[in-house]
Amino acid sequence: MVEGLVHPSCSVFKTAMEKTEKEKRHIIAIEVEDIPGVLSRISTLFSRRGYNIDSLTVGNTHKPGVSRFTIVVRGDDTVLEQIRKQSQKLVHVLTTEYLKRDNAITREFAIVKLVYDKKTAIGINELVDLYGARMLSSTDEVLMVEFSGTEEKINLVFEDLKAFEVLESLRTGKIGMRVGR
Amino acid sequence: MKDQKKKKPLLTGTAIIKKVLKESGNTTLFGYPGGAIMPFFDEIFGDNKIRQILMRHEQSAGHAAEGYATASGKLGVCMTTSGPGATNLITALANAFYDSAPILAFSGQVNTSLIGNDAFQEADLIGATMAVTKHNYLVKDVRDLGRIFKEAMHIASTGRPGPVFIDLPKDIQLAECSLKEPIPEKINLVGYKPNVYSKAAGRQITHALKMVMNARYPVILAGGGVSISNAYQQLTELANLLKIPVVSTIKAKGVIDDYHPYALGAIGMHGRQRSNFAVSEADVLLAIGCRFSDRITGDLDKFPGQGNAKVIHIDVDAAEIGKNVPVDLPIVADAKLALIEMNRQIRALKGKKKELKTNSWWYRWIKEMKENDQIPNIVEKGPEGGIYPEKVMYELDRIMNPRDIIVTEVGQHQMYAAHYLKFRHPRTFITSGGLGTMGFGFPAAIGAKVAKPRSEVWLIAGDGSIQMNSHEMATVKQHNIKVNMIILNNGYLGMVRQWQELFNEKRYAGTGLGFVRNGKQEYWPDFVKLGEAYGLKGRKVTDPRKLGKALQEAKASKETFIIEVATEKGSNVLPMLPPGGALSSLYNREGEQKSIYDYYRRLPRTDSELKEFKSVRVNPIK
Repeated sequence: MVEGLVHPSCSVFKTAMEKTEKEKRHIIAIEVEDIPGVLSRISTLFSRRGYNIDSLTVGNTHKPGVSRFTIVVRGDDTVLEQIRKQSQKLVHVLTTEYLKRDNAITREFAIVKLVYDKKTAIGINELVDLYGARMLSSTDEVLMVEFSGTEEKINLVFEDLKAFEVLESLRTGKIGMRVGR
Repeated sequence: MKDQKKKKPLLTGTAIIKKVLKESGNTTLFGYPGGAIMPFFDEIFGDNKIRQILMRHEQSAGHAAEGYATASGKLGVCMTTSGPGATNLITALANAFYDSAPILAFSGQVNTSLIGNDAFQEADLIGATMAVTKHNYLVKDVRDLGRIFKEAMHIASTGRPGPVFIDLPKDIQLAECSLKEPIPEKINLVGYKPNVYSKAAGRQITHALKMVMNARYPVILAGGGVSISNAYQQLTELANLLKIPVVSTIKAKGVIDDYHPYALGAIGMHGRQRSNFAVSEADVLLAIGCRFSDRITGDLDKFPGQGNAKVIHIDVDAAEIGKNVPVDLPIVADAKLALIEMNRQIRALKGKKKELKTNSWWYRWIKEMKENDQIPNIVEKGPEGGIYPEKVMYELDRIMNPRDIIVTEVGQHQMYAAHYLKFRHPRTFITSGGLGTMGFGFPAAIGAKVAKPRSEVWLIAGDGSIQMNSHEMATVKQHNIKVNMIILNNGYLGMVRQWQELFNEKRYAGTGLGFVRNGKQEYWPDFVKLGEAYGLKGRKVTDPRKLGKALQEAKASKETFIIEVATEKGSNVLPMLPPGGALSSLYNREGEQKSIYDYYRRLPRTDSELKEFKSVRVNPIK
């Protein structure tokens, strides 16, 4: 188990894990040549073949001209294998790999804007401490906080945020990387 | 002065394209002009090294390029204008994609500055063709043009071939390229390296041989990939060495001589009973270059060998392996290279005087089964006075030369042709397999004839299909391309009508192409008269005895000749599998639901059973 940050003993975390295993959610990392239209090639492939995407993130890497997708999909092993092979067939796709729970670290990132007044300040401060969050800005009793961590942790954050008045929120999809060389 | 001498004139976009095409030997172009592709048409105007065939519809241009590619094994090239010209091409691209045909298609596009502004005749072809091409390009800089064309040709014709589409804005065609070398010598595609053979495949082949040799009832399933990679000699050699039966998909017709004792014919929904039986009884299936489409597998749970057989799958496209049918032994390799290695290993085993452990009883059984399986006597005329398609195929088979090319449209006639015609050479049967595109046949026949001018090309069409692209009669007239057209006119969209008869309680919704007036069935059009309008000759045949003569007449004719056959309207292509049924289920020739085991004996599964079976001399066919 490499995924850290949330207390592994936390029961909510465990049930979330089990649920994910049952539903067979998989993470696949795809490195592509950074060429216009490559996102639409990937998304066309996924929609044409009926693969269900939970989340998709894309960004640059340290290599010039190479972008990396992290895609979370649902389906059984056969479907996953098909997704990988069909993606690999695309001309601009360089590498594809599965990220498994026991060999990869995954993260999500969230920004939340919430009302921060005398009544809620203590609670929010506790929350920020608990989750190791960062305060980004605070003006006119409105606070922006940044959270990062595993999907499960961010789920917990959003669960706890229900106690407060959230004005706006966003979370990225999952990003992930295999451990070791 | 010196400087001026050194300075080469700059090449325009269109000149670069022409140069790439000429250097690669792709000088036959099927196309249709329009505003956005005018610069290119202007470039090739008057160039006697380039043959430009003007089709009458962009879809036809695409199909003709595919016919050309399939008949010759070379790249097929087609071009259209922007917007509607290019959207018309999409069906043809999809067809080539499903049948893995190497096609380079390019269309004009509005000027780069207008793209995205909904200009006149603008359409987003990159988006529209993405799902039906192997790859596509939008050229935004004339300096990329040479590279893109070279890459496109490479991608289209290597690995698992497929169509590649290039969107070509008009200003790029006209722009001058400032590069010293507008066409790069070498191309480097980092993300595209088709795996045609590897050492790992060699090791897998050794395992595969063990599996096949230890099997009781091994069967080879040859797919279109065998034809595409030109592995037919190797396939026949493998069948001879191992002495095991070969069944094929419809796209693999001709990869093994139909008269070969172990060649059983096509499997699947409209496959031969004996082939479906062999696959139903198999314990090891060696599939080469096929993609297990639903039309050949039937019920996946019972495929192959009632769901109990082991599957070895050789394919150059790794994504095809395990897509539909779970595979026990995957081999990612080009069919030809894999079979060469397989045959080498078998010969090496023989050289060591290790007896090949093949089940000799099985192949004798197969041979006997094939010898005993004769097509029943052909009835010439049906109850309504029409000629049966079987009769037409029988007569055509007698008259055709083994090197003749048969092209079909899509429908009943296609299945009749696959059933009753004997193919002895690869690339002599051209048909739309994966997509099932009506209207494919006629333009594809034109392409095939252009590729193989010395072969007779026979088009077998139905009255429904031919009307989808019958305007190409103008093309064959204009370019003097000879296609022997056989149109089976039964006044119905026969295949759908057959399904309606069998599965929809004879409710013939939307399938009648004629109607009854004064007790007489009338059909439109009169295809011979239609041909006349285009300046072509033809003959209508209503008497089965005159079929042979009409076919001879077509063969002897110097230009396209139309034979319209008054076909029995109620004729059905049987036997067939019920949709969703297993390979062992069928509707027999009388249209009754049966099992394959009503016709063939179930084979013994244990050694003692086999011994008993062997001791009694039994006919494989009940």
